[in-house]
Amino acid sequence: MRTSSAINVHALSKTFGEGEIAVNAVRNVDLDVEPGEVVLIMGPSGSGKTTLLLMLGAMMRPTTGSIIIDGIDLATTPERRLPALRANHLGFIFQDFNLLSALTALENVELACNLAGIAGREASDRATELLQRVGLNERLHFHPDQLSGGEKQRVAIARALVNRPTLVLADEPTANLDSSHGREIARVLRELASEQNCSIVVVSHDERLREIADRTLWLEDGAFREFDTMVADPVCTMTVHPSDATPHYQHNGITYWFCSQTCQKDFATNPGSYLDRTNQP
Amino acid sequence: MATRSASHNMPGRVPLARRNLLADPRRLVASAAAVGLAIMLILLLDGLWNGINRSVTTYEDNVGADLYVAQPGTHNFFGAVSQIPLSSVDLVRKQPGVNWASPVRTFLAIVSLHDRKIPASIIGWMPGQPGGPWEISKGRAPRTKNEIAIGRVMANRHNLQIGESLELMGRKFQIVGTSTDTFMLSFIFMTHAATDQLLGASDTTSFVLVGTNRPAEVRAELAASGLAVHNRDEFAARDLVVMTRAYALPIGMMRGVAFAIGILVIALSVYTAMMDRRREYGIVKAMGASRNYLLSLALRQSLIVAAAGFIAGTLFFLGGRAIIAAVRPQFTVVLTSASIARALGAAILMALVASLIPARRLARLEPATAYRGG
Ligand SMILES: Nc1ncnc2c1ncn2[C@@H]1O[C@H](COP(=O)(O)OP(=O)(O)OP(=O)(O)O)[C@@H](O)[C@H]1O
Ligand SMILES: [Mg+2]
Repeated sequence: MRTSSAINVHALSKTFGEGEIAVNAVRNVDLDVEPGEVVLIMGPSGSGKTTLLLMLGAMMRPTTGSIIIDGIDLATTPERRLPALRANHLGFIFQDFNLLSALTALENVELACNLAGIAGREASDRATELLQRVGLNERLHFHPDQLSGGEKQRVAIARALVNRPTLVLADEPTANLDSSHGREIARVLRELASEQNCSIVVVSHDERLREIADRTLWLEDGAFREFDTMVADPVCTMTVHPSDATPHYQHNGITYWFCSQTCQKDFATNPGSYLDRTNQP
Repeated sequence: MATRSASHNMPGRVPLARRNLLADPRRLVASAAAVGLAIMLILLLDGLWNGINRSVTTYEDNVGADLYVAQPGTHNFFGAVSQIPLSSVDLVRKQPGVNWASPVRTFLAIVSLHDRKIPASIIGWMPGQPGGPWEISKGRAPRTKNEIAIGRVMANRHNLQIGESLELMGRKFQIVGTSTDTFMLSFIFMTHAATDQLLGASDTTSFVLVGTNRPAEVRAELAASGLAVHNRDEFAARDLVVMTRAYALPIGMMRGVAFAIGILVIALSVYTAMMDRRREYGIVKAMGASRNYLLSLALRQSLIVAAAGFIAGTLFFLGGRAIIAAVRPQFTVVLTSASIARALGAAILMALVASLIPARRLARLEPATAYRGG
C-alpha cells in the first residue's frame, strides 16, 4: 500500500442484487490519487461512475475491496463514524449545485464548517475567505435563487473545500452550466485544489474538464480501460470506447462509434447532417 | 482580507431549522394557528375547570369555619346526609380553644319555578351567627321563617326578583335578598328554624361549624368525645370530588383530544416542511450531519412551531374568555399561573412527541439521494 497517496482504492467491487438479477456496477477497481491530483473519470451511462463516487464518498458500502483515506478504510469503518468522516475528510460537489435554499451563500458554506465542529466566528471567517477566493465577495448574503448557475457552483466549491478535505468528489459539476461558466468552474476547482493540496475525483461527460485533469480514466462496465483509443460519438459528441459491443455504423468506408443505439439510429437516418462536425477515429 | 466579515458576527451555528421554517411563513402561520387552537382549548378547559373547582368550594372558602362537626360517616358538605343533635353545639362551645360554634342544616331540594324545577342547596343557619350568606348583593338576609335569600346567578338565570315568592317543598317563601352563589351550585339561605319545619325535625342539625385558632388540637379533643370532625380543606376537597366527578372525565377527554391534535398538527407541519426539502436534508446528510444534528433539526422545528402555537393559543384564549364573559357571564374561566405553566408544558411535550416522526424520517433518509438526483 502506497502511503503517499491521498486515497488508495484496492480491488473495489460493488454488486447490486443477487443471482440472475445481480448487477456488477463496479468490478475490481484499483485507484491511487496523489495529494493535489485531479482525476477525471469518464464513461458511458450506466458504467458505474456514480456508484464508484458514492463508495469513495462513504455513502455506499462496497461489496468487496478497500478505500483508504488518511489511513482510514471506509469499507470497514463503523456506520456511526461515517458522518464525521464525511464532514472532515471529504468534500462534495453535485451536478445541480444542491445548495440549501433557505440559507445565504455564506451560511451554506458555514454550515459545512458547523458539521465539522467549527462554529461561530471561525466558521464565518473561513467561509467568507473562501467565498472571496472564488470571487463572490459581493454575493455573501445572497440566497441561491438570487445567484446564477455558475455562482451557485462556486458557492458549492467553497462549501466542498472549506474544511480542507483530503478528497473532493464531484459528479458532473459542469453539466448544468453553459460552456463559458463550465470552463470557469473547472479553472476555479483546479486552482483551489492546487492551493490546498486537495485531491479531486471528477465524474463527467464534459470534455472541457480534461483540460484541468492531471489524469483521465475511462470507466466502462464497472472497470477502467485505456483512454488513448477513445473516439467521439458524432451525434452527441460524448467520448466512447470502440469495442465489439459498442454501437457502430459504417459510412463511406469509415466506422463511426456511438454511445448508444439511439445515437447510432439518429446517425444512420441522416449521416450527412452530423458529418460536418464529426470527429473521426 | 478574511476579517472583512466583521459585519457578520452571529455567534454559534447556522440556524438551519429556523431558516427552513421561516422560508415558508404561510405554512408556519397556519401551523401556529392550528396548534394555537389546541392550546386555546387546553387553556379554556383548564380555566373552566379552575372555575368549577372554585365555585364548588365557594361555601367552604367563604363561610369562615375552620372545622366541621358532623355525623360519623359523613365526609363532605353538599348533598351529604348528616344529622346530629342540636345540643352538640353547646358541647362544642364548651371546648377550650373554640372561638365560636354554630349549627347549619343543609340538604338538596327541588325548587318549583313557574316553568321548571331546579335543584338547589338549602342552607339553614341561625341569623346572627356564622354559616349564612356572607355577602348580600341585593336586599337583605332572611330574618323570619318565611324569608329566603337566593343566589345571584340563580336569580339572574330564572329572572327571580326580590319580593317574589318561591315554592319549596309545598311551602311558599318570600325572596328578600340575593347572595353570592356560583354556576355550579344554587344556594338558598333560610333560617335554621325554617329548615326544621320543612323537614319536620326539631332539636337536630346537619353540621356544627367551628371557628378556632388551634384547629388541630380542638379537632383531636372533639374527636375524643365521639364526634366526627373534619377540617375545612378536607371538606372542600371531598366536595370537589363529589361535585366534579361528572365533569372530570369529559373535561379530561377533551384535554387529551386537544393535546393529541396539537401533537398531530406539529408533527404534520414539520414533517411536510421536511419532506418538501427532502433532497436538501439528503445533502446535509451527505455533508456529514450526525444523527444528533438531524434529531436536533427536527426538535428545533417542532419547538418553533409549538412556541408560535403557544403564543397564538394564549391570544386566542384571551379572546375566547372575553367572548364567554360577554355571552355567559356566569361561567367563570380562571387563568392561573399554573394553567399557563401547564399549557406551556403541554406545548413543549407536544413538540417533543411530534418531533419523533420527522426525526425518524430524517434518520432513514439516504444521503446518496443527493447524488442520484432523487
Ligand atoms: N441501487 C441500485 N440497485 C441496483 N442497481 C443499481 C443501483 N444503482 C445503480 N445500479 C446499476 O449499476 C450500474 C451503474 O450505475 P451508475 O449510476 O453508477 O452509472 P453511471 O456511470 O453513474 O451512469 P450515468 O452516467 O447515467 O450517471 C447501472 O447498471 C445501474 O442500473
Ligand atoms: Mg451517474
